[in-house]
Amino acid sequence: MASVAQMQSGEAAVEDRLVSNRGLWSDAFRRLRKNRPAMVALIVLSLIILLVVTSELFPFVQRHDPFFQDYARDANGELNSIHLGPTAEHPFGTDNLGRDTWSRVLQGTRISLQIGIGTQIVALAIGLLIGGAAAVGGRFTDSILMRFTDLTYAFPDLLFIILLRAVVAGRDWPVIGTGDPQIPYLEGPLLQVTLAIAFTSWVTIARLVRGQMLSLAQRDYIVAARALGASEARVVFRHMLPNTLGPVIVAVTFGIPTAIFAEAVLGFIGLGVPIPTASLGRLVADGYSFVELNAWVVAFPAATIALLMLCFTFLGDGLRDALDPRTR
Amino acid sequence: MSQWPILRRWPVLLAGALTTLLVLAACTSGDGGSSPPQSARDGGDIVVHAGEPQSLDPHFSAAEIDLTIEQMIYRGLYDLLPDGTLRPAYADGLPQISDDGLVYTIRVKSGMQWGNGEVLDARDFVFGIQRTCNPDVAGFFQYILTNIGGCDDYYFATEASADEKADLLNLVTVSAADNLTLELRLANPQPTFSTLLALWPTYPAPDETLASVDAAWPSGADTPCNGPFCVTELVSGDHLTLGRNPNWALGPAASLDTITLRFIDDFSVALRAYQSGELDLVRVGEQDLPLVRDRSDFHSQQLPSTIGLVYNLADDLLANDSLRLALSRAIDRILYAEVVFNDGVIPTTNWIPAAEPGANIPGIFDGVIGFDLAAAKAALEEAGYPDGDGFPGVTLLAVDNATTRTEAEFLQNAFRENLGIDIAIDLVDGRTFGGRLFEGDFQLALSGWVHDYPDAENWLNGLFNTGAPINFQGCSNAEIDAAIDAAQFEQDQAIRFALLQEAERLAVTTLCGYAPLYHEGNFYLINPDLLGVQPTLADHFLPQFPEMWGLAAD
Amino acid sequence: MTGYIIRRILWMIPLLWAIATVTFFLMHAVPGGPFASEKPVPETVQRAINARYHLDQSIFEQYGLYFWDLAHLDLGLSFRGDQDVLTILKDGFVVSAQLGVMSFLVAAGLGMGLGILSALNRNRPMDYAGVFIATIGAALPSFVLATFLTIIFAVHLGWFDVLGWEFGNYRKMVLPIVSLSVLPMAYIARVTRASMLEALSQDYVRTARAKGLRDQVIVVRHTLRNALIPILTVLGPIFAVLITGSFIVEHLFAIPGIGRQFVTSVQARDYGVIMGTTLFYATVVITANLLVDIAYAVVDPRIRYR
Repeated sequence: MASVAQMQSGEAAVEDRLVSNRGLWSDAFRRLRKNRPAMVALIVLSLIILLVVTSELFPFVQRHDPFFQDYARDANGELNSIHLGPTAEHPFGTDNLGRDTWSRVLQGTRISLQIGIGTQIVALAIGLLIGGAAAVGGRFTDSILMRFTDLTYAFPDLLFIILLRAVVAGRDWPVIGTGDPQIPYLEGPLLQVTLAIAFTSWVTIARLVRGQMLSLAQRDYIVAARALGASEARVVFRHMLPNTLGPVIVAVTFGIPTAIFAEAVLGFIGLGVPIPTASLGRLVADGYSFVELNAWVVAFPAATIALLMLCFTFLGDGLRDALDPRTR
Repeated sequence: MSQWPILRRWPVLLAGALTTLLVLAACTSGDGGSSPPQSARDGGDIVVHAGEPQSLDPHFSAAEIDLTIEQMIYRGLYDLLPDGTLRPAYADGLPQISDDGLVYTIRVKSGMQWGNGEVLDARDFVFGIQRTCNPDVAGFFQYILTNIGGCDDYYFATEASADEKADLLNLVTVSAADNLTLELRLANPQPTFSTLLALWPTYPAPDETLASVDAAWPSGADTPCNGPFCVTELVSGDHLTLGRNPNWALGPAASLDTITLRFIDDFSVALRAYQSGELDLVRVGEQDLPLVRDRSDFHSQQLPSTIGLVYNLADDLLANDSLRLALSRAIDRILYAEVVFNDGVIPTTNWIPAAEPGANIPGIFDGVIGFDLAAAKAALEEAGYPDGDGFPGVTLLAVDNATTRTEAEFLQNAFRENLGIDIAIDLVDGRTFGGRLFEGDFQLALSGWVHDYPDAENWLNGLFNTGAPINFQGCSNAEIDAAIDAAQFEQDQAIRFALLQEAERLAVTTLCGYAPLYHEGNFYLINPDLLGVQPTLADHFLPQFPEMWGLAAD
Repeated sequence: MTGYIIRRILWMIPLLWAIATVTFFLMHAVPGGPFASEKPVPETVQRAINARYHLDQSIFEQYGLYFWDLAHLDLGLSFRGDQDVLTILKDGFVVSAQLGVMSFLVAAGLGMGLGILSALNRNRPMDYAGVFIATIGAALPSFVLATFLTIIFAVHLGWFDVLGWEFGNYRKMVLPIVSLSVLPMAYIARVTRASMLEALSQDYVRTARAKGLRDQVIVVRHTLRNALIPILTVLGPIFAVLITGSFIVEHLFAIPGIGRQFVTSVQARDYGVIMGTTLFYATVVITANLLVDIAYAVVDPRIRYR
């Protein structure tokens, strides 16, 4: 018994020296704060989210109803509120139906963030589970899970998406359709798009996690921890998973804007979020028709996507550096 | 985003069709129709915007682009001219019709050849009509030949043995009395039948090249041809090249050496390729009209088509006459055409376009189903939903593309602003849309009709009579049925038209499935050096009669 | 190792069968048939057309028929012009592979170069510049980027063509390659930077540095080799995705590649082509993943496959 206790305390000591897990998160936060680009990105992102949230609550932020179609006419009887460039009244201009682009972009940003983050939550959960289990679960589990991963990955997602749409569109089913109850901030129609995009994006994370963990499994400190008798669960959750987080966070931060893109592409081939609700992707895809007539209607949503992309990238980088105690 | 030629908004647009007469006034802008005569040089190559054909078998295909290419490489007995008259092509004069209106005798020009040198005579025309009626060819447009004796029996014998099919084939009443005389016998006299002899289902088939009546139509560079051009190359997904037909004898040889049809799905991409000089002729989408409509190389033409709001009458909610009326009267069609289509369509309340023989006067239904806010609200109240109170909601089914989305958003807004009711929009891909429409799995939809041949009959018969094959909206009205039936075999043109006008009036004013919204147009940019391209008032993807086209002498 | 590879290759057969089966039933479950949204036709006509294409048989009969033909390496015919599916795949793949390989070389070369530069100059202007370039390039959806590039460089400046692809003709190559490679390039740069930083922080690299080895040598001999694992994880799928064609780029430049064929076939319910492209796509992806796994073992001898 004593020897076991000794070994355990010995293991703890080795562990502390190898990975300073104890202060991981507070250390990480301290390091993150020193990272200027990441902090700027975090502030900008927070501002965007604040703006998006308040626009729903306070009319003076949104200024116009994003659904209102303005068919006002000038003295000559011409429609004078459609396809406007930026004006004082409409800072981002108006679209082909006379709707205010500023309020549409605010709404679109909210929808896109919900899709982007929702997709990554789903993908992360599945990816970590499957990738991790494959790496530590032994040969048979690994084989089965990786073949399943191959199957999903090699599967024609477009067909899946069209079928999903055909089956669930217009149904009043709970959660996934339009019926009650709904997941807050991820209503049925959005959830459909989210699941469609997550359907393949988890594979990348799963493979990344597995590759990383297989590589980690051979590292000296893991071997040492195992040799010192640490339980499998302990090795996995205390040593391997946290050390997989770096590349996974890079993948996820890239994954959010990638999902926003993916939704734009779905919109482009006619499978985006349901109208009149607009995501940034849908705004860009719709505006694309008018790019030579009124480039503003593409430029503002596209610039917003780019801004989100930059923010998530810098933030992801900062997080990666901060979370990985070995990179200083 | 643009339109997809293969997956256009409405199933009907894929329809083929043909030359038609139309409103000349609405037909051209720019100088396309009236350019001073300029001489075209002999030779030259052009590249034009097109889509990939699904099939170039004239007895099978239905897609708009297929029929467009077919009119370049095939010719039938007659050409249907923009004014609606028939001009003999391979026929030598107009058909001789027996007094009872049942037997058509047509002389075929002598000494004619297919592109490969094979003799082209009356037997080829017999063979062509037999192919359209053949159950294994399974042609989309067999139904317009249903009046030829034995055609239906043969066509529907899909399960029959080879011997039975051979027997049925012999009962199809089309024959060659001699090499140059074609004889057709109808089951009933049909006033519109001559027109059908200008359409692709009656095009000839080369009886030496094809081993049997149900043999596969040769494709690619082997595609038969008897028109001014022949297919010389087909690269799937990329282009189709047409070269001059050396045996073309219906007129002077075409002046262009080759026409290359580039397959481009996206109208915006095609427009940019035109601007960079890579294309000589492109279709323009409505969203680009403001950019191009003032250019001198811009041309437009009106189409024999009507798009409307489709009501599923089998739906309890929409079976309510007042509700349908309220929805129809809440749509400002003029604003709709202006905002959604940049005035590229003609707002309407008529189902049959004015240029079709037998159509009603444009605008006569405006006072019944046209835009009127007060009347719309009154109708809604009568339907039991004053100011939209208690309205259970209804869903509009539409194809997911940029234009249709805009249309749906416009309608959704119009119903909310004008009636205080909310409609949901269900966007699906083209095939899902078609499937759901025909299964009746919808409430409201955006769809319409393009004619097969220019006559009011083609706009009503099959669409509005009870239980008719294309009556997926569930229209059932004894008076409409009676008028259509009476018109079908009526030999007196004036009485026939009066009956059809009455049928249209009933169909429109009772909103028996459609609230007409607009008639469509086609828009082109054409290289000023490319001469002789006349907007031909057809609903083809491209203008007709390429043998008239030529490049300007330098 | 050899046994492992053989087993993985044998695995492909049930895997492809599973994918084909699911796809087969899925595509028949999607509403609308290959001729559904054509001109409305009477039901009798629809029946005749279905009979012509064996669509009137039960789904299981059709399934049996398809796999019987497939076992004889016959992929069937497209509904479009009755063309041979194998020919459609072959023609499309030649074009997509040319475009894909070129884009992959550009993306991998520039991406890894940019990533290494950023990592070696960590938190210095060079690093930020690299991250910024990579991010901005990838921040526009490819259809927006391709559209703007076309308008500027093809329509207004006339340097390149709007339409088509022709290997060896720079006028038709530059814009599609740029449009296709920007996003993977950015992604590769990000992953390279991250895993280089990871590798640079390993003890043995510090030791090597302490021993006074020159930076370049460390980078090449020690770091890059270790940093390759996560990079390979992303390179494999990116390669597979690029050579199997991008719908967007092929659509916007009217390139007759396999990506466009796939989307068009799904939209058109062209069952033969859907099955053909799916099987083809699956084979490429599975093979690419297998190659990645083998490459793992090569760059990291500690990974053992049994």
